Amino acid sequence: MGFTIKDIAYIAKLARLELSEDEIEQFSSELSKVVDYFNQLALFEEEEKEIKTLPSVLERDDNISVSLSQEIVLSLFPSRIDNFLVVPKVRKEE
Amino acid sequence: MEFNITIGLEVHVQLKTATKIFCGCKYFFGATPNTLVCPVCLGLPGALPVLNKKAVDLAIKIALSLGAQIQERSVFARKNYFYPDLPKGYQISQFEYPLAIGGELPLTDNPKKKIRIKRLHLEEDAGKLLHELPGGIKSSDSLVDFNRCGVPLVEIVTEPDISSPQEANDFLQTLHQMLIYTQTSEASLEKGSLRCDANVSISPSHSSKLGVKTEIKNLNSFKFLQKALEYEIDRQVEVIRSGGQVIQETRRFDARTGKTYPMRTKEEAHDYRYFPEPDLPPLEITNQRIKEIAMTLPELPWQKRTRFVNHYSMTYNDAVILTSFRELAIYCENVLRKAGKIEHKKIVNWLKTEFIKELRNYKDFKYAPSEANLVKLLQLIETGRISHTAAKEIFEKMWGNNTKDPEQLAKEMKLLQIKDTTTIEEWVNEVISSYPQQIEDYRKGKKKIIGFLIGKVMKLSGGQADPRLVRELLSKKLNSN
Repeated sequence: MGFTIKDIAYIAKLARLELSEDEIEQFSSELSKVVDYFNQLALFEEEEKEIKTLPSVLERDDNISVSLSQEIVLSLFPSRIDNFLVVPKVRKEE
Repeated sequence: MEFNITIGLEVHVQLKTATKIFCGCKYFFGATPNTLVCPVCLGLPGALPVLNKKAVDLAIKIALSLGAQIQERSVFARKNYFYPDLPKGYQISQFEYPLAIGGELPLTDNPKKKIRIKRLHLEEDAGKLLHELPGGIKSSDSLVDFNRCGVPLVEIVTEPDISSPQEANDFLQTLHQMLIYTQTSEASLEKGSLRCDANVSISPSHSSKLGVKTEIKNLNSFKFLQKALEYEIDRQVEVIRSGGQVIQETRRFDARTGKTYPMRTKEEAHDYRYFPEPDLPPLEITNQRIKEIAMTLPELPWQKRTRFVNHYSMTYNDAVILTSFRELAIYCENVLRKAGKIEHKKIVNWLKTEFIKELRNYKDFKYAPSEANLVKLLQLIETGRISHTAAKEIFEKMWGNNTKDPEQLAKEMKLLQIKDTTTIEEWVNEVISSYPQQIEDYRKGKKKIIGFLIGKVMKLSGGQADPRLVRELLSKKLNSN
């Protein structure tokens, strides 16, 4: 499967990755190879039909378990004010 | 040029569970920020989601209330986007295979109109972003509270069947009422456990093509929903009348100005790259489970209204008032059932005026008199032992945990009507001798003066004489000699 330069630029944008033109070039062939590799799974299509559908998801009862201690949570934040994590201003509207 | 209005709503309902949808963290509104989180809802590496059974049960209950078809198999999917309130970088939702499809909700004002439901799915909530520091101080940064991450939601999407802001309001109110009746959600708009986005477009009435729609995000009150839509429709009409074109975009409503403002254009439409959630196998719902949940469904508000109209011959509007919440509806019905021969209309009148008035004062049902005591009071009126006015006075005293029998209260308050003719005759005679001039006027033909005389007798009796008897005895006396 061929990825165009445009595809790569778009995917990079969605993934918030800043790529140079050289990198975009490089990834367009590399990513194609990765996806081609997955295409091999299509070969198992016939056998897949015989595999029974996955068991249903397991459900748990609505019982409360202990949350993380405040100390641990706050230590995960690179920057904070009071109990809040601080992030650069989100653009609310243009 | 006349326009047709087309509105569709997306409503997010927070389910009434003790814990989050994929982890055992509890959640409540107003908790200290970032104290109700764990590796699962923070999306820390290696943490795995486990589905909350209660959340699924409640979602099924809501779907059944709307008459939606529960899907035998539904699939969780990852909705990918970057935003600071979403620590995992994706939201677990359902996309291609939602929990339920179809269904409808009848409006309250116009019950013949039913708004079709397109789909209903389960998902997790995101965290909360603040753009001001606590205390309303402006900040150059944004603040994140992850407590709400992973709170269980159902999203209900309607078909674009709504044709006015007023109908949109009606839909949301009716849905809200159903959620409270079924105890599936706290459904509080203020606390954010019921949130609504509205899609709206207009098109010339002669055209069958839908216009370009805009989406108004996060409308958190019934009033704002209606106001935002009213403004947005006017704005779109203005754009088209002045020869322009409506742009497909997301807008927000500012309650202070009453206007909507663009947020981001959909041209750069979000590409959420949905894919099946690899950590959760598909959700399979058995018929047995659906049956069991269906058994727990209460009579729904619109069903109650129809039954009240048919069974107790009340008007539809009265039925709407008396079914506004479940406790009230049950109370009213019990009073109607126990009241024996008293005309339904009289009981309904009492309930919708006197009862509701006191309920508004006390604001809590626990202060209401027992059904049996209200029935006794109504019977005292019915048998003429107390006047309607006296009944109102007694009724006021029956609220606030007063378990006293109304008859006892009537005695204590000296409000039982005196029907003893000898006693009344004594008062009548006294009045006749005290007002010779008025008696003469009456006999000369000024018949209206009897009202004045009745008043005097009533005053003498301390308001306790039966006014019908007073009139009867008085006219008999005046006309005889």
